[in-house]
Parts: sequence; C-alpha cells; structure tokens
Amino acid sequence: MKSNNSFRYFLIFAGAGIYQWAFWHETPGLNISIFTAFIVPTLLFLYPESVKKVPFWLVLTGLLSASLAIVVHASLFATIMYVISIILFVGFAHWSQTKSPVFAIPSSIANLVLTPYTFFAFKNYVATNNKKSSVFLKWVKLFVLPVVILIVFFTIFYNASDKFAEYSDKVLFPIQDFIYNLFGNITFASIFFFVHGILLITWILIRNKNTNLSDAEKNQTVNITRNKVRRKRHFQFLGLKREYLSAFILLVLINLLVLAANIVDIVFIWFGFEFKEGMNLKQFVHEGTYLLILSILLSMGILLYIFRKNQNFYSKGKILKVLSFAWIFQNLILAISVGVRNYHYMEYYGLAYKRVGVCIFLILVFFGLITFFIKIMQKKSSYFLLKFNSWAMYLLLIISSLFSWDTIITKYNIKHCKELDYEFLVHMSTKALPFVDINKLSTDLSYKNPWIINSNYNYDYFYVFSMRNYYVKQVFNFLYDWETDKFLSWSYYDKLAYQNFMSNPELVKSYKIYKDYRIKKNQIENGNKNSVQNRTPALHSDESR
Amino acid sequence: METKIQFKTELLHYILMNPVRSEQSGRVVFSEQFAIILKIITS
Repeated sequence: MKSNNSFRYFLIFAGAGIYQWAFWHETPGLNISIFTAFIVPTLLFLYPESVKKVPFWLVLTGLLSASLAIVVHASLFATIMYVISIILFVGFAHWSQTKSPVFAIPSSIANLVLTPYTFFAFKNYVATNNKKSSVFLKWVKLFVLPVVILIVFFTIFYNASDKFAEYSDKVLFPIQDFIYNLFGNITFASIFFFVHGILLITWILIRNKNTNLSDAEKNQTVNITRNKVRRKRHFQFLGLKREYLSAFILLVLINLLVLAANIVDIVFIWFGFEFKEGMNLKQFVHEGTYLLILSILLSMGILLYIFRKNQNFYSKGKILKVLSFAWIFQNLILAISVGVRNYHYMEYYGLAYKRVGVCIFLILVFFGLITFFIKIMQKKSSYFLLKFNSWAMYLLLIISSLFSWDTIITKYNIKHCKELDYEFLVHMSTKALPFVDINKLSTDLSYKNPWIINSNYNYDYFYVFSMRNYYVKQVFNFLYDWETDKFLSWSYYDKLAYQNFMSNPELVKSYKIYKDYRIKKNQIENGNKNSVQNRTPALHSDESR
Repeated sequence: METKIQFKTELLHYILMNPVRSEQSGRVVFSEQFAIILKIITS
C-alpha cells in the first residue's frame, strides 16, 4: 500500500462527505455515477496490484454498466446490481489473487462485518509507513495557536469598528450561508447517515488482512486428481463398485421417468397446446415452473454427488457417464418445456417481472447444464462449476439490468394484450406511466392498494380511492419531486416522463394548483423548514410481481 | 366504463384526502381547505 494512515483517514472522511452530499434525501440517479467516480480511482490508487487481473476488469465493467443503467432509467433492478457489483469490486480490488465471485463475496462481506474494528485499528491491520504518519498532525499543531489568536483579535476589531464589521459581514455572510446550507439541517438521522457513510467508505477502501480468502482459493483446482491414498475408516463406506451399481439403477429409472414426463410435455405443451375457457393458466405455469426448476436443480445435486472424486476415474464407469449425459439432455428438454409454458402464459396474459425472471433463469440453467456436461466429460471439479456459473450469473444479470423492464413490459402489454391488467400497470414506476391511457383506468372507489394501506402515509387507513385517483396522485407526486429534487437524482427516463406529462395542458393547469398546495401544506404543517426534507416519500413501484 | 379524465376532480379528491393540518393541534385547517377548493372550482 502506498499511502500512510492520515492520508487514509482523509480519504475516508472525504468519501463520507461525498456520500452524504450525494445520497442524503436523494433517490438513485446521477449521484451513483459521482460516487463511482470517487471510488474507482481511489481503489485503483490504493491497490495497484489488482489492475493487472482480468476478474477486476470484468467487475469494473459491470459496475460502470450498472451506474450507466441507473443514470438512464434508475430502476430498482439496476440499483440492486450496482450494490452487488460494489460488493464484488471490493472483494476483487482488495485481494488481487481472487478469481471467482464465490470467494470474492465472502471476503468482501467479512470485510464489511469487521469495518468498525478496521476503522479504529487499521494501523495494526495494514502495512503502513509510520514515519510519515505524524507529518499531517505536525502541520495541524503548527496552525492551531495562530488561528486561535487571530479569532480573538478579529472579535475585538469587529466590535470596535462599525466599518470593519460591515466589510467583514460582506465577506463572512456568504460563508455563513454556505455552512448553514451544509450543516443547518443537522438532525440525529443525518448524523447517523454520516456515520454510516464513514463505515461504508472504510469498508470499500480499507482492507482488513484477516479477510484474505485467496489462499483458500489457491487450494481449489479446476481439474480433479485421482486420490489413491487408502485411509483407514471406522465404519464401512460403499465401495466404488457398489456405489456404481446403485447410481446405475438410479439413473436408468430416473431417465425413464423424465422421458415419460418429457413425452407428455412435448405432445401436449409444445405442439398440442390449446387454451380452454376456465383453464387455470396461472396454476399451470407457476406451479409447473417451480416444480420443473426444482427437478432440474435436484438432478444437478444428485449428479454432483455421483461424480465426486474417484467415481470420475472408475474404469467401468462409461455407461454411467452416458446415462448422465442422457439425463442432462433430458433436463435441457425440461428447461425448454418451462420456456414454452412461459411463452404460452406471455401470449395470453402479457409480460410481467416474474416471466422475464424465468427467461433469465432458463438461460442460466442452459449454461449450467452445459458446464455440467463439460465437468463430467473432462473430469472437472465442483469449483470449476461454481466459478464459471457464478461469472455467467453475474454477467447475465448485469446485461439484463441495462434494460428498463418497466417500460418494456408496459409497452409490450399495451401492444399485445387483449385484456390489460390495469392494476398491475398503475403499480409501475413513473417512467412507465406516460404509456398507460389514463382514461381507461377504473373510477371504482373500492380499489385498495395493499402497499399504501399498510403504510402510515397520510392517514391511509381511511383513504378511499380509485385506480385513477392513485395514478394521478403518483403523477403529481412525481412531477413535484422532479422539480424539487437536486440534479443528483436525475435520470434520463424520468426526464422524458416529465416532458411527456408536461405536454398535457390540462394536467399542467391542475398540477400548478397541486404544487402551490403542497408548498403551503409543508409551510403550515412543518413551519418554514426545508421543503426537500419534508417531502412525502415517493411511492415506488411494486417490482416483486 | 370509459370516461374522459377530469384532472380537477382528481385534484379535489387528493386535497380532500390530504388536508392541511395545523402544526400544533394536528387538526384540519378549514380556511386553507376552502380557499384551495374555491381556487380549483374557479380556475
């Protein structure tokens, strides 16, 4: 490590300051990029040895892509992927020998847990150059006395001469305003947020030497070696031959069973699917999908057990391998059946988050089954599976977080669905709301939104409203937030949505009255405090569906 | 079921459901409520 302790403390406090300024009372947007612009160069400076490693660059690309996605559409998914990327990035930057996310995540989380300890004791935990550490303190001590004396004399002159006081005020008031703007709104919550920022930055920047897992990873190999040492056991294990026989019977029976299931699926779902009135398509897809996914994962687990260590080298094990390949192939067909079910569901009910999730999951299952095939074929270890599949998972999730699924789902459903689920559409984030035709929303007052009923938002336990009321409230709330938010929460799709709403003159007329009302309401209910601080929380879309 | 949207009606609904409350007592400030309703109707 290049720097000394004082410099590290300076970086932590600078980072916490940036964090406080960028995220306090702000939603994810441009602030994420500003934060990334601080973290990445600092980590590169502190841990230059990581720069030469490929995994570091892969995660850095993921991190930058996620922050770009947040600036463009600020979706919850992109934000989650950004957090995951930060966790990985910390793991790979701190320990340059780490090769797979499977080891980077625990090492990073261990560092997170030890953060308070690291903050107060990093002198003992990181290699430092102690000679230089006192230079900063020396300079501080040098300045303290002159500054105190200067303040005393300034106070005397300020009170003695009116003209001096007048000119000093001209200089000092802007500084005072600046300080008030920075610290005027200090509350317990903001202090807590700052401390949280300090811990967060300490976690990201300072590594604790106890969290090094790269030695453990060095012991893991991609290829399996045959273990010929005979160990004395206290109880009898199945010998390789008996184990082979038991696995053989299991694989033959299971292959037959899955073959029967696959034939039924191919005949009735791939080619002969007909939607009948009264058919419970939801049950057909949801339960069917969950069970198929379970069956695929279970079979992977069983194969992993069968092909552990020496079974890979058993001379008569060729039939077992062929049977396993057959099972993997059948699992691929099962996965395609899940895809076909999902496709039928999409055709009748349109897109939704879970259906997109199933598609992403199926791509991962495909990749997983292919790596499984390679594992058995070329005698690779489970570490090989974990390493490649965790990378595939991370990269695929990063790629899918680049899309604004809210807008894609809304546009697709409006274009393709005969019966639109408006209750689902009004729950979308505001960037997708301009596409929903407000005139088609129900005015039935019995509409209840469980998300709002459960919150303590504005006496909602007797809040009666229709879907249309809810939509308009969301839109007004969004427009108000967009105008009062700082540039930090800016995102491109929000800007487009704002322009879209403001192009409707009727809406603008009503919104202006709403805005005046909100400002007056804030003033009366909270005195003349900062209006940004008193904003009601934005209602986010329910992305769990 | 399809009816033309009236933003004024929606606004009235919002204001009735989110009244201004006094900082001290927490009671609804009726003068403010009436003023805003009048503003919406006459606009």
